[in-house]
Amino acid sequence: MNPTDGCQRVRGRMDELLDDALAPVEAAFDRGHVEACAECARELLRREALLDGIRRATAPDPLEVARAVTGTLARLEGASLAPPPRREAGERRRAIVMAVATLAAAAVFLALLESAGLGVPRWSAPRLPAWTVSIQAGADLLSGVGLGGVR
Amino acid sequence: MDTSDRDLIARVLDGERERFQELVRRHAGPIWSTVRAALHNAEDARDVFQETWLRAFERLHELRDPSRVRAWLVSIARNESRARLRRKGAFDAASSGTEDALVDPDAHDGLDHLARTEELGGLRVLIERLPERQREVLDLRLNHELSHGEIADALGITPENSRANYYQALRKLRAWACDDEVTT
Ligand SMILES: [Zn+2]
Repeated sequence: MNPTDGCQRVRGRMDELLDDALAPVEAAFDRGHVEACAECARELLRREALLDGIRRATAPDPLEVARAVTGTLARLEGASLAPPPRREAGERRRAIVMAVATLAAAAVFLALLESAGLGVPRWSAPRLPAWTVSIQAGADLLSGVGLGGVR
Repeated sequence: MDTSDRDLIARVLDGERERFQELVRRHAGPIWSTVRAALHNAEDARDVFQETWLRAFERLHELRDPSRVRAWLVSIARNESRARLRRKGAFDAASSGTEDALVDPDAHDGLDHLARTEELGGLRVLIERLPERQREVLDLRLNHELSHGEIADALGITPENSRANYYQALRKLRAWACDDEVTT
């Protein structure tokens, strides 16, 4: 049988078919054609055989891989690696407990000072100049220097 | 059931360091292929393979998409291999050239001949003739089942470029196999 236009089209994108790169409609068309066309079926088998040959010719040697893995696991075991820099759950909990304990200790200390009559100077707000810039004026100012974005 | 890469990485980052070994075993193939292809000395390859995994452990928290860990590891392996070659003064920047002239896509007659087991040696020789980039893409796609998107991430190219290199490599091998058949 002579190659038809269908054959040309199917063979022209056969690598894509085998690479799962065709749209489902195209792939279904090509598979249908291959089932009905002995020449294209033969070509498909050849190309599959080439892919298989490439795999077998270039696959890594499993013994070499195993040896490399064994060496790596031993080195990881032996190395004093710092843990990946993300806080562990336990560490996070410890940090929170420490922070709360520090605050509690400070409160107790201040209460003791107060009860001993030593007193603690009251905190008073610093005197600030009267700000007269409105929020809208501030936003306009920012957008004027390219920092705006909030409207 | 196998733990997904995402779960595995989350556990390692949460402090289960020993889980990292599973990642090493799972992705050893493509990492080994990458360093072995770059470094012709097996001793160097083993060394760089180890360094790749140490670096990956240190930088695991930087991995943005854990489902693409394989591509990320391959890119580390490539960088480590390059660094090793540079240190040895053997890095040839020109070797990354990729695009050769297109070959006749319809040439295919030698394939049956080539794919036979006894011809694998011949096929290896032809694959060696491909540009490095095309060999890398073939290996990652066929031996390690990376998608073209993942290959793009690993090699720092676009997915279209990965596809183009892949199909071009196949066309060339078919054409060369045909020539080989004719001349023998
Ligand atoms: Zn046909």
